[in-house]
Amino acid sequence: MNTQSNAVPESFESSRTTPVAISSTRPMYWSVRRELWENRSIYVAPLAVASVALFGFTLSSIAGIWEEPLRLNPAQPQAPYDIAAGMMMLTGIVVSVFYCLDSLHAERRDRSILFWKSLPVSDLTTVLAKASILLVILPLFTFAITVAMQWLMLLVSSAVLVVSGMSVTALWTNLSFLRMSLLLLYHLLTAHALWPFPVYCWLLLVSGWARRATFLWAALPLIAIAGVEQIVFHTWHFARLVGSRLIGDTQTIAAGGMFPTGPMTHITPGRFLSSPGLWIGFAIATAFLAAAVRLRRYQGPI
Amino acid sequence: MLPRWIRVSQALEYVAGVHPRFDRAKAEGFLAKTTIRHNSKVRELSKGMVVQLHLALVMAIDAKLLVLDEPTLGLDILYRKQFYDSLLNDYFDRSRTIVVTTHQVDEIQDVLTDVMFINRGRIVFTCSMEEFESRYVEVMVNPEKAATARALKPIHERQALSRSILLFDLKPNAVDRQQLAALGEVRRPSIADLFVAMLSEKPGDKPDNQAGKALGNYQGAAR
Repeated sequence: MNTQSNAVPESFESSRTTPVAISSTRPMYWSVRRELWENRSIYVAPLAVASVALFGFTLSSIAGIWEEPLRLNPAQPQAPYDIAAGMMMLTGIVVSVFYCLDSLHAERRDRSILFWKSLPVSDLTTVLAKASILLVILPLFTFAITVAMQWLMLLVSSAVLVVSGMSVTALWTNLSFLRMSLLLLYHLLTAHALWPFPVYCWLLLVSGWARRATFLWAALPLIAIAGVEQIVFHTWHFARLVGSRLIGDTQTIAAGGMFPTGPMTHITPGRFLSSPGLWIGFAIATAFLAAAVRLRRYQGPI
Repeated sequence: MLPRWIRVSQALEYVAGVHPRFDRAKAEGFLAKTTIRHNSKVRELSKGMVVQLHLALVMAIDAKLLVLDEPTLGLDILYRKQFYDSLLNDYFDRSRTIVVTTHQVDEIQDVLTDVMFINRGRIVFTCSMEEFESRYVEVMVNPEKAATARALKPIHERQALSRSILLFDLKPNAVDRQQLAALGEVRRPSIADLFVAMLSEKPGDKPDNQAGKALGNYQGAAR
């Protein structure tokens, strides 16, 4: 069953409902809300991982398994914070990949695309809302949850120190929490949103095109290209390129420390923003998104 | 087709958010008459409730032209009847046009103003219901009078309970109602019968025909 109604009737004389002025941002806002209603894993998965990390940290702090950070190794006072943040980043990548592969496929699979298309929300708005989840919403959620988790970790370790009769001053002074958080935000927005964006857009495009087995369709061409390259040139450039994009590994984001939020890290936003790799990636991502928008126009339920 | 994961309240919010001519209070009013709860998800609702929800959303949109494509597909007979009843009573106000395409021709015969048959994407027949009723006549004829009746060139004939049912098009034929009344019991034909009569003339046709019907203003329906 499907229903369609015209959005803007030609004449307004006999209409009884006064049309509400809808600004151009409102369909976008509601499309993003829709994504969050439909894909609760966007915030449930990071919350679950954060809870597990926090639980593990608490257990190890109390049981004394993970004593190193509590004893305040001056060299690395924040190692557990980085490891926990790393888990959150990994979760973000997994959530993004599955979100992309499902987003334009699920609405066709459950035939709800007929409902969405019957409303005055353009294909462009719908696809851009999905892209904004990847570029903005998911990194910000991951950031907020990670920072909250790290605060709780700090409170737990402080409590353990106080109970065991030690001073918390060293922990609080050696750990520059604000700096760590800002570095984390920068890292999430660059390495885990802007840099892998073309890969995510490729996955979005495949999810809007494939009738089934989206993961297979997304992975096969990449594997094929990498395989051909290996056979012809005996190199792995393409595989490395895609891999480094996906895990957010780039030298242009920052220099120094091993961890993105380490004390030795210097961020280099200028170098990142002026790196050709970023802009080439963006051009490719735009092409994928444009193709996804065009494709959705002609796609119906499967 | 409503997404199965959406909550009733979310569906209302969303449509109110994106549709400029959606009257949320009206939709809530329709829903208040049903047993649908606002925090239910669509997957928890029965088929009939989903239809009621869909109707509530659709009828709260103030549009001049409403296109319903097979709106009662997959519904049982109770909900089909209820669907058209509420569509007519709560929505239709003579300034609107509703176009319904359906294979279930019988259930909407009484609510139509215009009818159109589509066969393989082409319009094969179109007329108003007034014209339909004055132009087409069905006669139930006993076997002894069947030959006389056949001489009057019916457009279709079928057998029922050892009597012949003949469908006449009064317009090109020089037959009138009195003549037919003398032959047997005269009745108003159903659209389905005419549909069968018109489309079974060409034996090559597969039954992928669709009857498109317009409620309300026909001019608008054709646009």
